[in-house]
Amino acid sequence: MQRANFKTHEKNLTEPEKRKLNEIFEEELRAQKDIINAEISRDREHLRLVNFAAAPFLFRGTLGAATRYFLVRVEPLLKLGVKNCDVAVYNGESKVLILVECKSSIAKPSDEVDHTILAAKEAIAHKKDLDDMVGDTIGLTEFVLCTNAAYVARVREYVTDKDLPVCLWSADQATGKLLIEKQGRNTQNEIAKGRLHHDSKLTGLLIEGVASIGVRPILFLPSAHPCTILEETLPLLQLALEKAGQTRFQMSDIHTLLKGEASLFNVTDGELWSICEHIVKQGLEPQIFRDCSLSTTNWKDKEFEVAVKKGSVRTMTKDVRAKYTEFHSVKNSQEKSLEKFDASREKEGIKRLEDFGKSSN
Amino acid sequence: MEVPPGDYTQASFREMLVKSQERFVDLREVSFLTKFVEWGDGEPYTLSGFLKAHNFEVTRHGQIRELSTIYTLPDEGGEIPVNYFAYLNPENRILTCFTKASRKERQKTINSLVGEIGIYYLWINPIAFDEIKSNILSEYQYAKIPHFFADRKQTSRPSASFRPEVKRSISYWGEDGRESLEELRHYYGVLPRYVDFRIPGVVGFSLDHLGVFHYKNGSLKEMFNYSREAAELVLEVRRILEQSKLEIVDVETARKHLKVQNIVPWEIHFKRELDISDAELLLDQLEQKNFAVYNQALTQGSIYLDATVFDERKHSVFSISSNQHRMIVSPRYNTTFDSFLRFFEAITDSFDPEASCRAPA
Repeated sequence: MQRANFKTHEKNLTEPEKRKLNEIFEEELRAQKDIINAEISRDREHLRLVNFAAAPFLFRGTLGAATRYFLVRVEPLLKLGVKNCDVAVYNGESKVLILVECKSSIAKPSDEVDHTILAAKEAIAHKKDLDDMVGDTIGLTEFVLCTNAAYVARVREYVTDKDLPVCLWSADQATGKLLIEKQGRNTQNEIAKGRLHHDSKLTGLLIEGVASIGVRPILFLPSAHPCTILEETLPLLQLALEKAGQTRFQMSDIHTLLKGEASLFNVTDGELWSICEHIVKQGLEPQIFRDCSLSTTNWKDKEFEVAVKKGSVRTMTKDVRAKYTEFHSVKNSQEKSLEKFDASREKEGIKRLEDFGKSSN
Repeated sequence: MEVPPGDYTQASFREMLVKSQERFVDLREVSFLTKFVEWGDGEPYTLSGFLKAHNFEVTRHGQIRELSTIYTLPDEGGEIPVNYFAYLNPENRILTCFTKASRKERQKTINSLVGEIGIYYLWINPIAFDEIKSNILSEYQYAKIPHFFADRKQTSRPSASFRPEVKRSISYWGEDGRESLEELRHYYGVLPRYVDFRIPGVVGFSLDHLGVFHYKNGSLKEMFNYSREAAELVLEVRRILEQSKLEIVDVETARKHLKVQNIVPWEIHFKRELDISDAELLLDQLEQKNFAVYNQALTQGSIYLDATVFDERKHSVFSISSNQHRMIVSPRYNTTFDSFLRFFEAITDSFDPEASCRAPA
């Protein structure tokens, strides 16, 4: 439902009805703002966990140096439209790929584990894509569900009950240790079932617990909350524009930024362009960006301007958040409040707003 | 300030000053940490280029350069010539300037260089400042402190017996300054930023937290020994900051070169624990010191704080990840030692004056 529709509908109402609709709207607006803020917070909690799990696999990280398993990219199944896989860790010597899905909180273990299993199936079905991603013939792919220590027991129960092929990593952020949860007693059996890593050194270190000290190799994931991606890219975009003495930018400028962004290393060029388009579109809706070439239809040819409050970077990033939250909370609230208003009228036997003007047979 | 004409080396210049020390009462030794190993020929982004951009005329006297400029009085509109005799040490990249310019004159002239990327004060952190002070006082039991300036930020809260919530500054003159400084520190939680030392029969000089030594009387050579000691302490911090890096390592597979990140962070260890209200205050304080903090995730309980930081002065980007005991700082874009030093200064200023800078274990 568009803003214009809300206003149009509002016009057709009597004064008491308008008041009622606005009351519903105001209440809904508060709720929607809370929801958006909670979504952003949840997204950042997720990012923290992803970094916690990924940091030991940096080149000279504890596990990177000891086992030669390196963090090679984020969201390796992005091209397949599968979001339930956050990072890929690869060992070029043993040709083993580990796909890690992180869940910062778990409401229903079955749902989260099943998502990981589905992602694993997709990954196996598209092995060639993964081979292309690492430029190698992958010998073995292992799957990991990583969650905060508090949720591990419940997830383990489900994985064991269903005998599923998932390694379970436990992130104990209070002590700064990343551990593998040993699910069964028979190690060989567990390895065969995909619940312990084939690499005994990796498993051994993870059983002991590996320090993850808080380095953040990933500033955002391609499927992160749009507000996170916009906040992260805007300061760099503004800096690049200032350096070049320009006020307008094109998608290629964002592409240049993303190409140098370490969080997105080994992401294909095609995927980078899709992320650029996503960023621009997410920025245009809440008027964080302004389209300066409306008549041009090709996204790559269009020119844009940054339309948030000018001044310091902190003013800009705050305005990104404010504009994003305002736009989406208003949009969602208008839809929801009209639905609620209609429902209340239906209850009272009055016709729906959109039925005004239609003949009543 | 005038010196006999000649081609000087650093050593011969200092020797000349020491030999004629009675002519150089009120001499200030002002040092800056820089990224430069040579002066350059006035090209942009070289040290001489920066000086030129800040209206300095540079004259060569062997290894020493005379930096001359004019300071315009704000009210009267009169013009005061200000000059510095400077030496750039190519090994430790410290620019040392000798001058008789007052604090105000320095602020309006040479200190403006600190706004440039790759130049910062020889900022002595509170722990190092205390170490220098203690070394002097323990070496000379009869040393006096006739004047000092000490302050206490409202948010930094070092332990204090009386009204710890109060922000205060104390400028103290008195024969018992040595004892008073300790008493005021204990009872009122103030930390020295400027101390005037009188060591009877040896030397009289003052030192401030920006590494400015002011010669008053006695052996200038002795003051130079202390300034060298101070520089060593500051360089220890810089060495840690400069080891910090984000490097990209090429990992070869059968058909690709995968880019793998290696991050070497640096750490700030807190003397006092960071709690949620401190963290919120700290973020606010950082913003006031021109650090834009965005994409932050702050959780209660066992506190976690993750964020990206943009240094608005030095145009660098880094990420922070903190718990109650320590903060990990990871470089991202354009990070330089001066930006990190500025950040460390902001943390000691805003939250914990006794925080220490460390390389990761």
